[in-house]
Amino acid sequence: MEHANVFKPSISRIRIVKNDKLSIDVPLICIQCEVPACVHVCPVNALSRDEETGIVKLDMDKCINCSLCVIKCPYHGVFKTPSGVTVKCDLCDGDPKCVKYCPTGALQYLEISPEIEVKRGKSKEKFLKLLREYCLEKAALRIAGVGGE
Amino acid sequence: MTSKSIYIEPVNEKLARNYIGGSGFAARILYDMLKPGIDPFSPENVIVIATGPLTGTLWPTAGRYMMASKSPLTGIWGESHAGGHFGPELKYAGFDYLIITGRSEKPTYIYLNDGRIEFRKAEHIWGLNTHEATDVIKEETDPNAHIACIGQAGENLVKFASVISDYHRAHGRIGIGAIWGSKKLKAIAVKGDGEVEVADHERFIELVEDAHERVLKHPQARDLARYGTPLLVGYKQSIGELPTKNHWTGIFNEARDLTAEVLKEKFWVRDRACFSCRVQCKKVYTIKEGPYAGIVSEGPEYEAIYSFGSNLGNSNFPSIFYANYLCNLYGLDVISTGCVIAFLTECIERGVIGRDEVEGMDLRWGNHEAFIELIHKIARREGIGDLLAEGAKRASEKIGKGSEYYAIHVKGLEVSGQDGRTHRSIGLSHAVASRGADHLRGLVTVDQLGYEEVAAKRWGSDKLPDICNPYSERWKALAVKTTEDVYAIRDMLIVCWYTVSWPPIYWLEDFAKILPAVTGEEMFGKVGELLRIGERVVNLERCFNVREGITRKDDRLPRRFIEEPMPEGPGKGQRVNLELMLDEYYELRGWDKETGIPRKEMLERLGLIKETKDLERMGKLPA
Repeated sequence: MEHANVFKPSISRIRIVKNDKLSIDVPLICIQCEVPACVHVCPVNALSRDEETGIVKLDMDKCINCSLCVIKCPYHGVFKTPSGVTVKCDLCDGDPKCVKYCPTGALQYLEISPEIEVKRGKSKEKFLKLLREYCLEKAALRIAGVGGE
Repeated sequence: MTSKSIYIEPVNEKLARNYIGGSGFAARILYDMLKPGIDPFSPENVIVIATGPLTGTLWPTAGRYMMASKSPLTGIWGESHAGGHFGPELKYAGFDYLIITGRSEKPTYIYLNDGRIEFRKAEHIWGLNTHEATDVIKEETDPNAHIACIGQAGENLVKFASVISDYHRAHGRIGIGAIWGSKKLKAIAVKGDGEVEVADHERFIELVEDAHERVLKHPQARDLARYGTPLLVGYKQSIGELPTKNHWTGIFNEARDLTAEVLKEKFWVRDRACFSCRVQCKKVYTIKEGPYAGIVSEGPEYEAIYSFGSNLGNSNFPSIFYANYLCNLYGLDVISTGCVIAFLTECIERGVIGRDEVEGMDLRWGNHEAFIELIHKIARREGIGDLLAEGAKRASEKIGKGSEYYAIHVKGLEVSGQDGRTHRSIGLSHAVASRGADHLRGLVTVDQLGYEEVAAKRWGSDKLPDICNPYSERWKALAVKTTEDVYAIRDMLIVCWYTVSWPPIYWLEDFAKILPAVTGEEMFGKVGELLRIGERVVNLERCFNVREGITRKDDRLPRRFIEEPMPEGPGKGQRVNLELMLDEYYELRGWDKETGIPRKEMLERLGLIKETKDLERMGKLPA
């Protein structure tokens, strides 16, 4: 919503993959990796990590919408919109709206510290485990916009 | 459904101006499309599935959608709402509402995908429960599609069958699932990548942020977030209104085993929420030991805990959890299912029916094994389950022998987890609500829960303290009337019962701010105009019912609430003086006191001209 002034989850930069039967919800969002797979795979250097802020940024002028980053991101944190544009979280330039709306504190925006880094690592593992264990990979890829028929 | 044809049209502007969305749309459409007196299971019956202008936006609790039809259980106006994510997805797929007519020859499901509508064969999933069917359809359509479907109960035309969306969210009441079954409609799957745009985004977001803040800061909304609706168990017990043993009393001696705190400690796994909800009242539980061990599932809500717990004299939570789960699998309304079992159990306990007449089941208060067995029989319409599948009213009429007294229903709809004896306004509300004994159309909460400031603001401080005295009939007609009109608006928007009805966070003035921002229609900014629209829809639903033969004589309560004083607890000795409240209510509504039918002047004031003429032609319009 923040980037488009409409309510449209299909262009959102944070999405949720669900197994409603077992009541499992896994958020899909860029976790701003230190060694990002998306940056590594980008053929035109449209993705880069800002060493100062840690934000992994996508330069829309350079992006050729090849979807490699969408496929390669292990956390399914890069998305295609229905019109084929690649989008990812930019932390709303330091004021993330998702955190503002989160009712439970599941989403938090914190200064990095060694403890937080450990916590973040655990969350990452937990997400990957949930995606694998509950067979959500296919659904997650569909949500990210690259899972065809 | 008959010819598998599709017709898509833009929303009619006049309809939107006069009826906003949701229940309003459904009332207008069903009144116009249905001939009075039709058999609810005939192809002439119509299903409306509607969202509202707030559905799919960021307004807190804007994840709901509704279905309406002529009810097979009551033969009158029937509507049922559910939360989750289906409603918003319907809008993202490009549809505000659906009208389903006719009857398919063979089982069918519908797939709505970004503006496209497809009829698909469903023979291979006919006979599957809701979870199995949803699994298959996800596989055949999209793993992220949202799916509403019926289980075996809907297929077998159980008169209180539900529609279940996304495994756990239920359109429970009035038997909408049986209507799907009669049309051979197994499911609707929806997937959409579209958008919802509001008229004034900036203004809307300002109001939404404030709305979210208010939920976040409200102490009772926080309690609800923490415990969910089971929170009500302990509270209802403390005021002596936890319906127990077929609404015989309001005190359940073992209620302590079913309180929200106990559930949280022993069975809780995690919280979930419907789309865009700040409350997250959905609780996921699991059972670790015993015969029901191993299942992880959402629910049960307060109403299921009352209907399979206290109302059956049963304090075994795992069995209540399992009964709720089973009802969702079969697609059965948890309230009506529990109530028909309570009806039969009381008939046996009191000797109206012999113990040898119920197929060897040991039906007595608290014996949950027998209750579970009966749920299977009802869903499959086996043996005595076939009789109970008709609802308490019809079952008791067939049994006779005075069993009618123990059929706790209004207009054929089994009574929800309240009792007019200890809360007079719900007594009136159960009696007059458009779909029968209903806790969602007009349940006043501020009187019973002592929100005196709120009551003073709504009805004037001169009405205090009587209006907040739950044991007094005084001012209750006024409270119920206003509440029905405002809840009608709530159900047109569509937003959740929670945060409007309880805790009382948003009211008309909030809707008058948000609606112009969403729709661009400044007329919705006037509280008076909104009230008139609410009143219009309440009257339109009443006209629908009057056409079906409803009059004052049907606006009744089970005799138990009128004749049998509450036997114990804080409300000991209380009973309902319904006639007194009815007189006042009709007066305020502009309905004829004798017949309970809307008067010409009232209908004309609300712009219901066609209805005036219809009632006149039928010879029903009061002189």
